Amino acid sequence: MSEYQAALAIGALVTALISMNLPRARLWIVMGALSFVGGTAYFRLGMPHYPIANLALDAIVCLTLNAKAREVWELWLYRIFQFSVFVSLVFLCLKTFAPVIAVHWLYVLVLEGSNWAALFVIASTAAQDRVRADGGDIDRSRFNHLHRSQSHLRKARAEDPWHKIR
Amino acid sequence: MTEGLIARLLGILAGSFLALTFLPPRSVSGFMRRGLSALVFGWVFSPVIHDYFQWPATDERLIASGAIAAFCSWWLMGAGKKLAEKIGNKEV
Repeated sequence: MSEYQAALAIGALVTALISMNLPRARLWIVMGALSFVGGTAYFRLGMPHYPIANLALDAIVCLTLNAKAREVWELWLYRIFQFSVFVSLVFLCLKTFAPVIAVHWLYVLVLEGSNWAALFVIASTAAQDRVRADGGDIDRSRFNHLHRSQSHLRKARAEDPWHKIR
Repeated sequence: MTEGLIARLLGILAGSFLALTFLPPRSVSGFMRRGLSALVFGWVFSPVIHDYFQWPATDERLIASGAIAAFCSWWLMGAGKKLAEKIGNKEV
């Protein structure tokens, strides 16, 4: 494990701890982590066309997010994973048609950046939620109602996912 | 006729699956319509794409051409539908 991957793992762990009050946050963190580990393992095993693994795994996360998201912050995660899929698709095309300009380190950097962006969305939503729930009362213990979901403070998704509409 | 059948079908399915992430349909009926059209488009246009790039007839390239054809068809149909809706809304 490289130092960048270790930092990402620690970031994911901290975000999971912060976002205990957010429903489904840990599910998305685990799915993102599995996608990252799967893509990295495929690359490390020296399998051919390695962006395909990232592409397929991120697409699965993307579709699950689209199907299961109930709040607006989850749709932001959906857009981030959509971006990851797009980046993998572009890199795959570059590797096939113009391998000279397909820069591996830039591809990895962008994917890691989008993973950090996803963690930031989850952590910032959880933090905002906590501040609003405390109503600015700094004397109140931050450990009170740690597990309580404040869903009324977050925006719900406007449209149902496509598989629920006939 | 059946030469590379599985590879082409796999490519078409992969292309449709990928397109689903970028341009999700609005309903189950939309998904069925677009899925069926992607199958037909993929089947018809994958040999055209294959010939255009002058790829060798390997399974890998058959999958790639099927995926490109299905992906583009899905996107074109979605874009066409949005355009038609836009024009329809302007006229009303």
